[in-house]
Amino acid sequence: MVAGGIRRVSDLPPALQAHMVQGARAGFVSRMLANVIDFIGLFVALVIEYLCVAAAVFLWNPRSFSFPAPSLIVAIVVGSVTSWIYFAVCWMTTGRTYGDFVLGLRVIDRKGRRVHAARASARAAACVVAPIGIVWVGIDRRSRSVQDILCGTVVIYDWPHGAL
Amino acid sequence: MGAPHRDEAGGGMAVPGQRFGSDVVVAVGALVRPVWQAGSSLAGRAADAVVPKVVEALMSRIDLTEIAQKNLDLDQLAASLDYDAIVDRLDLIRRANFVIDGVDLPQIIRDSSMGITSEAVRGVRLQTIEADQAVARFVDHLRPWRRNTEIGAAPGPSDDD
Repeated sequence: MVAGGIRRVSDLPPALQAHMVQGARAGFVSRMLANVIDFIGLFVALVIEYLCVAAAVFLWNPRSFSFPAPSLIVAIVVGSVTSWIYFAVCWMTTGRTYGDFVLGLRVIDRKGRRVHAARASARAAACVVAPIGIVWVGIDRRSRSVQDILCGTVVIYDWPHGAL
Repeated sequence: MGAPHRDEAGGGMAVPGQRFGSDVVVAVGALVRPVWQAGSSLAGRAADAVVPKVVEALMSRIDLTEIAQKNLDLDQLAASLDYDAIVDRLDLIRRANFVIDGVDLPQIIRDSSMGITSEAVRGVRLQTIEADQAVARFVDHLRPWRRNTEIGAAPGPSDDD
């Protein structure tokens, strides 16, 4: 607890600003920005996936090649599966996606440990199915999203080593 | 005696007194030359040994830089230099390559860009934390129960249950 009841990061001396927030629960803006970065990354990954498929189709039959036009259902399924794998693998290995890394966030369980595979997979599925659940972070007193409540996870400020 | 006689080689008439004189000069020259050479050699060795020490002793007592600054017009000297000729004599490309080889330019660029990037990311993170707190405060104003948004009092992972 900071003496004097400091309520803003900018009220702290610069050297303390980053240290004081480590381990505290991340708020709505940080998590939303991290998700936006992840969304952009996933979009690029999906475009690369599409180009790889197009290249494979071209190599298979160059004469009658035309760019594949997947249906909306296929696009949604491929996008969802790619996102699910990306989120689950990131959270179960490092505890953070690339967006979390940029914003200095980490996903942990309620006891402060790294989330295991089942919990990470469930959280990833919940995030893919109902991304709107993140809005609850701004409302909940403990800064939890719907996915956090369902899967028993917490997102904290945890800047990568060397960034403090 | 006294009668001039014909010189064998040139056929010219040689005076006996003159011949005697030249013989004496030759004989004296032959006698003096080794002594002169030995003396010169000795004097040279002595000078080699003494002069550097004398000059060194003098130089240690003289501030040449100060003397040059007092007595030389360095600006005029510099103006008289032909810099183009000096530059023409330099292999600038080779020297530039030598300097570039000695400087790890990619590492410097990497370090500086990483420094800028990390500072920028740090700034973004701190600003988003501020924004998080601002959103939390705004939401808190809309409801009767308040959460504690003080830094350091933010609920940690362990107080969830």
